[in-house]
Amino acid sequence: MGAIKDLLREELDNSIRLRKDYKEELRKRPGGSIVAKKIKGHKYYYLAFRDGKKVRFIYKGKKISKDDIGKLKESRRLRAKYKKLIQKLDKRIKYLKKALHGKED
Amino acid sequence: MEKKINSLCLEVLNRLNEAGVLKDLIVIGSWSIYFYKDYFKSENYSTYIRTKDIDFLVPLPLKFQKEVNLFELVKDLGFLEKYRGSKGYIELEHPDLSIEFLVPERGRGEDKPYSIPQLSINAQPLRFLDFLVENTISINTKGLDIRLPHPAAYALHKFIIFKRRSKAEKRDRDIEGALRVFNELIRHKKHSEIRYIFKRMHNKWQRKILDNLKSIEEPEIVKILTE
Repeated sequence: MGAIKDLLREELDNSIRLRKDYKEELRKRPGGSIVAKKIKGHKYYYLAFRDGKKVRFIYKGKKISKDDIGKLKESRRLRAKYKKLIQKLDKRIKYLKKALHGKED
Repeated sequence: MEKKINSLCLEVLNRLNEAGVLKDLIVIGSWSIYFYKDYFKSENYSTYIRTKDIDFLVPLPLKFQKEVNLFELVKDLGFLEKYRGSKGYIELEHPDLSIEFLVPERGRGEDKPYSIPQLSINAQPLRFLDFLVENTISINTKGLDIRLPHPAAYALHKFIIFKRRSKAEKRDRDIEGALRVFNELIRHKKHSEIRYIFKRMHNKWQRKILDNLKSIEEPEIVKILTE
């Protein structure tokens, strides 16, 4: 039983660490979308994203390059992937905690 | 769950193949046990493995023709690039699969990672891996040619290193996997291949294997090796 518990404990520790790492990656990568605001006949581009209850805008410039759009798209794809994996890890962590703290026969 | 992990592993191998680097890597560790199914082609052989770590052995000297950033290659699958501990070995981590890179340790050995700029990775040098590089097979699975240690080399290597494991669980896993592969070789009457690989080993390593096998009470295997 000890060996199995050690294995579960190791997996739990790894899962908790990995979930923290994904959350850190999410913080580093911008989400949101590029929006154009028309002010006095000129177009200005902003990165719009949700920050808690607020929607924030970060000014990106009068022009936006294809490269920037590509980077943002990649970032959004990765964010979606990481969020999915965090959900998976949440379930795993819950299951492992239950298994570890359950009664022994 | 297992099916998902296998398909993720195959996807990684597929990308390495398309990038032209798979042919210069050897899959070692427990995933070899899984892929030996395509060597034994036996219904009785159990492919069950208890690890999500896939270890790639990089033979020295390096033979890569072009530069490939391995992390970039698998990043969109959700892998993160992590540096293990203070030593700086790179590990590509995913909830279902961890990819590690190893190189044979030579000479007196240093506790430093081995940099492989062609793949943008740092590999971990470990003892006894040259032996695996010298005895490989190639199997084809789902259209991919994968290099693996010869099953006899895999089992013999585990019979050496299980004693070096500090964790009992890993030691037991090494022994169980090695015995499973070894017994399958016996079932396939590969005695001469086993002995050929064993006899080519350094005398000191042969003695170590025999001592280790005696310590886990496997006289039948000792007999096969020394006949």
